[in-house]
Amino acid sequence: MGTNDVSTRRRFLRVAGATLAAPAAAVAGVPAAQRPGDDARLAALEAVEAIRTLQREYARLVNAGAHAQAARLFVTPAAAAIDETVRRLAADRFAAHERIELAQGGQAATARFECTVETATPIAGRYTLVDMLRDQGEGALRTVGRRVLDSAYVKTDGAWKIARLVLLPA
Amino acid sequence: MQKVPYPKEQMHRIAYTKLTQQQIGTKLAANPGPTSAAPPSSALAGKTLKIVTDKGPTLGYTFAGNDRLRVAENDGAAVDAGYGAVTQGHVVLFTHLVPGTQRGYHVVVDQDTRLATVFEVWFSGFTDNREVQREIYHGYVAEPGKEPPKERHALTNRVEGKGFHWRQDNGVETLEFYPSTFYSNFVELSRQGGELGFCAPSDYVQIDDDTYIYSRVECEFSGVQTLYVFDANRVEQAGVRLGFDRNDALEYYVFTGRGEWLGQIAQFEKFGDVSVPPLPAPGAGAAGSAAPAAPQKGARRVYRPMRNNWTMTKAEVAALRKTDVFSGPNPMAGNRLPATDFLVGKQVTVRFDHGLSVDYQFPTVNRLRWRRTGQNAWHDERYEAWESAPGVIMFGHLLSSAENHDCYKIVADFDHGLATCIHGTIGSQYIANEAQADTWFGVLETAGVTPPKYRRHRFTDELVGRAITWNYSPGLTSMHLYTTPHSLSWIIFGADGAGGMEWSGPASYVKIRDGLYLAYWLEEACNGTLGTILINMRTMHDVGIGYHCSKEGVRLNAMGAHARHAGRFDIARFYDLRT
Repeated sequence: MGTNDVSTRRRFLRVAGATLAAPAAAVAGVPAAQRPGDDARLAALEAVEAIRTLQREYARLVNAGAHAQAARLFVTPAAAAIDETVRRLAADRFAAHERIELAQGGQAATARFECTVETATPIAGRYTLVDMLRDQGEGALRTVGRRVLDSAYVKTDGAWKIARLVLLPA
Repeated sequence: MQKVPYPKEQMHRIAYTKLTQQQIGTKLAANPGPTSAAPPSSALAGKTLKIVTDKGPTLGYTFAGNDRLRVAENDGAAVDAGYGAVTQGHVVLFTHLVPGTQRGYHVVVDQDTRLATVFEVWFSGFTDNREVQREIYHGYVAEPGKEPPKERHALTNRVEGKGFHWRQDNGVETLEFYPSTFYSNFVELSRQGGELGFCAPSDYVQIDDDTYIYSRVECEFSGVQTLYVFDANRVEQAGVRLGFDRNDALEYYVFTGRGEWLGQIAQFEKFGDVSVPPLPAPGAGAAGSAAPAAPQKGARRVYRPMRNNWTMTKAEVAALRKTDVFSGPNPMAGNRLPATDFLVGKQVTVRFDHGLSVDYQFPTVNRLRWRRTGQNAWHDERYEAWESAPGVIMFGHLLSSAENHDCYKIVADFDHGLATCIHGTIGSQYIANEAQADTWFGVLETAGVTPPKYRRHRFTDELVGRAITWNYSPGLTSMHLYTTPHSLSWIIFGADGAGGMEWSGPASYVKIRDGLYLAYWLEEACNGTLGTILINMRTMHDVGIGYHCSKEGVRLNAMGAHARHAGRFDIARFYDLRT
């Protein structure tokens, strides 16, 4: 994806209640020392990019079925509640409607983005067709639907971790 | 004299002998080679062939005449064997057993391209020794000084959806349908009178756009294999049959045949997908192993419902008290119609032609009271009802006090004063917890309805040949293929939309109105279920009731699915009774 593509996104980025200028790529080529406040701005953009990377990694691991690895992206891996029914999670329209808000101090953030989620829930009960599906190595009720990935992040020891992540109805 | 050879037992009721490995060895040793109704082909007489396969054996052949060959496996010592060959256009098929073993080969060679497909076949490779096992190898005919061809024959879904009427040169006549990528459906017209269709795991290999190899093994029945090369354009076949018949006699013959194209039903893979779906055969790894193991030689996915230990004794069935009647959501009813309150407050008598009549009261949307007309005592039951078409209500309930855990599934047409009941009972002469069904025609009497004296719903063959898909819930879709007036098969789709496992059972169809059909099927020697649906061809939606008996109790569950019409084979004419 080229810069021009990125610059047309309607991303929403705020720091402690004040909207930070978007699109992000609009400042990508400007040296930090050339504009007042650029240090804070750059730190915010780096934080946002780190959170995006974390989201993408989470989606990649969930899509690969690597739930244990995905849990390690959380602040408390043992408490990570990863929806076992999710088979695929993909950002809608290349995450064009993502919304990331950094808390004051830049050590915490919340994010929401629209996504398409495919789920497969094992079919319960004994029915002939279900038995046959199981014999085929299948046997799950499959759904595809739009959801909102609602999440919170904290920066711990210099690295961003997921504090909370839930899929809400779109 | 009777002219139609109806069997004393249908295939799913025959108690096939559990032949021992020794018995099979003795029978094979006594066989000199395949027979044929017509003189065997001499296409290979005097020739030598070296067939190299990619993942299997190298086979060296010398053909002395049209019935004897010498074969060397993997450059080993050559042995003499009887063989038979048949040709289909530019393709030759020959078959032989390896003396002293329970193995053999069916070899298909395209004489134009030098491509070959080898079916290695063997007995005594499964719990049922008589079931023919097979492994498929693709390769080519090696010729000195020539580079091996780069192409190969391959498994295909290009046969999926086709159907043919075949008449072999030995008089065997069948209807065969290929609605799946690894199962097929066949109706034995000449051997068994064509009452029922049956299903078998099958292989489909593409030779070219006209020519294919089809192979089925009648798993869970006789275990016989039927394999043929066929030209879909010219509707000709050349093949081999190998296995033991219901009397345990060895059937080993080659044949040619001609046929008639019966139609093409829809495929549901994505456009452009002409590959066979990558549904792997079950692995041979240790139970509980996380990693899928490589399939064993000959492994295939086979539906073996009678090995699931679901059958019960008569005493167990008689002692059953637990019932599960429309207790809540289930995957077979994810797309059902909402229940109707059409019947609430009504008093109805359903009077059947055989003399029985039943009075009904419907105090609520899911509680009814019934009694035999003339009796005093009312019985309370849970029911559900749906209005499939204006004025046509399907409802069902258990008869809690009945000896055979009876149920009624009734379609009542209030516009016409007609009613038809599928009376379900538990227990057949074969399996104690298998459902059986009777169809009762009659009329309904209620305020404002004067029923007809003579008109009734009636059995119909209007569904015969049709294929209709049923999406019960997301991810749970099957297709019915109404193969005969007395049977249907159901095909399960894989996640990619390809037809997968398939099975069949006795069935019956009643016409309720134009485009509205009541169908039931019995999952005999399967899971024992009686499925009953009211098919509305206008809305392409059904309502229905499943009836099942297991160790968990007797279950009556709602069914409901969205339909798609997948096409129709022109076959009803094969079932007419003729002088």
